[in-house]
Amino acid sequence: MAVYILNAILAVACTWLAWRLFDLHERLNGRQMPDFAYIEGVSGIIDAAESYDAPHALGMAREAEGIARRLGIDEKGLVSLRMACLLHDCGMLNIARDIIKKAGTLDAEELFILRMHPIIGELAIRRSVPPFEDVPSLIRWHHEKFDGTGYPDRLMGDEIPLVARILSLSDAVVAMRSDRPYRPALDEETIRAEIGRQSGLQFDPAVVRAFLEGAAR
Amino acid sequence: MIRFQPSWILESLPPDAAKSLFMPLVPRPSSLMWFKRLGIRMYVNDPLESRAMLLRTLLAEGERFTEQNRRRFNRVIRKSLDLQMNPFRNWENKPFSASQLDYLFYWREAAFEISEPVQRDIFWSAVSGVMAHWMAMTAAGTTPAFPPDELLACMLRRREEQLFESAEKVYALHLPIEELGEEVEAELFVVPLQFQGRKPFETDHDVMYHAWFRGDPDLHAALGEIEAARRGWVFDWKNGCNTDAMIAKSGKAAYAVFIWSGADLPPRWHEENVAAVLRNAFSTRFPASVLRVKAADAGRDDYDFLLTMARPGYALPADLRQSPGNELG
Repeated sequence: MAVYILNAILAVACTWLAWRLFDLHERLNGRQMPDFAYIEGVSGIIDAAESYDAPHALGMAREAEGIARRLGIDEKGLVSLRMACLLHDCGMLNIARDIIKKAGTLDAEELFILRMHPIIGELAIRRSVPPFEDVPSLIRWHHEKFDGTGYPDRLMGDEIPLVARILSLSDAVVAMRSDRPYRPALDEETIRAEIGRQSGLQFDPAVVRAFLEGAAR
Repeated sequence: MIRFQPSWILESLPPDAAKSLFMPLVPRPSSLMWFKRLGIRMYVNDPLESRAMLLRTLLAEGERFTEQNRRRFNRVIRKSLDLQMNPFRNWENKPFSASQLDYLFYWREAAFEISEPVQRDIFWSAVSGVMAHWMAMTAAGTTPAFPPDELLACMLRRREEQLFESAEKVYALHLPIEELGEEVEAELFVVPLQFQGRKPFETDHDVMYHAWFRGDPDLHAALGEIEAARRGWVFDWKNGCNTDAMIAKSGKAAYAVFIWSGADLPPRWHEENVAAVLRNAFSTRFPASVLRVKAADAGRDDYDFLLTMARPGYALPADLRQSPGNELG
C-alpha cells in the first residue's frame, strides 16, 4: 500500500515538474499565449484607418479559423493565423492618408507605395517578436496570390505558406461582405461564386474547398 | 522551392548599395519585378530556353499580344482531336485531361504559325500559366472553372497587367552558365539557392512545361536537360554546390547574396551545413558576412535564409549585425 501511495505521489510530482519545465520553456521561447484582447483593440484602430465600418480584422480571424480547422491546422498555427489576421494591415498606418482615401484610380507610383504595406507591416512586427515567429512573414504574404501575380514577392502555389493562403482568402471574403464606398456588400451566394471562380487563380483550390464546405453548412 | 524576396535582399544592404545586379541563374521571373520597379539594372540569365523565354516576355519585352493574333490563335476546339495523333497522349490523367491535351497540342502547333518571335513567346508564356493552373487544380481534385480559351485569354491579360517601363534596362540572357562573362560590372551578385530533390512529374511545372516547350513528352529527358543546365548551381546534399564557379561569376560585385528556403530541418542545420560552407568558400573575396533567418511556417520548421557577404571596404548595415533577433551567425 505504501509503495502504491509513493508511486502515486511520484507520478503527480513528475507531472507537475514536467508541466513547470514546459511552461518555463514556453516562456523562454516567447510562446506564451498572447493576450488577444489588446491585439483586437489595435486591430480596431487599423480597421478605422482603412475606413471599415464593421470590424474587418476580427471577422477575418473568425472566418480564417473555421477554414483552418477544416484543413487540420494545429493549435500553434491557429494562434499565428489569428495574430496575423488581427494585425495583417498594420503597415497601412504608415501609408499616406491621401493614397488610402483617394477616391479615383491610383496611378502606378501610388499603387506601388500602397503595395508596400505588407512589407512595412512585417518589419514593424518583426522588430518586436522573437526570430522564429512566423506572424511577420504571414503579414508580408497576405496579398500573395496562388497563381503568382500577388505582391510583394509574387510567390506561387506552395511557396506561400498554407496559413498565409487562408489569410488571403479570408481577407477577400470579409471585404466582400462589407459595404465599400464604391459598392454595397455582396450577398453570400455571390461571394461563394466569386471565390469559386478564383480557385487556382487568386486562391488555393484546397482553401477554396474548405471555405465552400463551411459556407454550405 | 524557394521564396525569393527581393525587398529582403535590399534591406540587408546599405541604402542604394545595389543599383545593378547579376544573377547567372534566376528564380521564377515574376519574382524579379520588385527590382525592376525600383529601377535596378538587371543582368539575369537562365540556361534553359523555356525559362529564358518567360524571363524575356515578362521583364524585357514590353510588347502586348495583338488582338489580331488573339482572335486567330486562341480558338475553341469544337471537335476533340484523335488522341493518338497527340504527342503528349501519355500525359492523359498525369495530370491533364484529354480535352486539356487537345489544347496543349493545338496551342503548341498554332504558335509556330505566329510569324513574329516576340508574339510567339508571349503566346507560349501564357500557356505556361494555363499549365500551372491545370496542374494545381488536378492536384487539389478540383475542376477548373474556366474553359481553356478563356483561361488562356485571362493569362494573356494578366501578363499585360504586369507590364511597365523601367528606368533601367533588364538584360534577359539565355546562355549556359559557364559561358557567362566573369567580369560583370554589377554591384550585387545574387544566387537563389535551390536544393536537389525531385517532385513527382505531374506536380513539377518546370519539368512539364520544359517538356511541352521542347515538343517531346519524355519527362525524364526534360528533367535531364534541366539538371544538366543547372549543374553545380543547385545544392546537392552530398556534394554541396560548385562554389568555385560561383566565386568566378561574382565578377567585380561589391556584395554577394545567397537566398534559400528550407523545411523540415532546424535553422541550425542550415547554418552549419549550408551557410558555413558558403561563408568559408567566399571568405577570401567576401570576408564579412551576415546570415539572417526568418520563419515562414514555424509549425513545419519552414524557414527562409539570407546570407549577405561584402568585399573588404564595403560595409554591411551595422544595425542588422547587432540585432539579436534577426541573425544566427
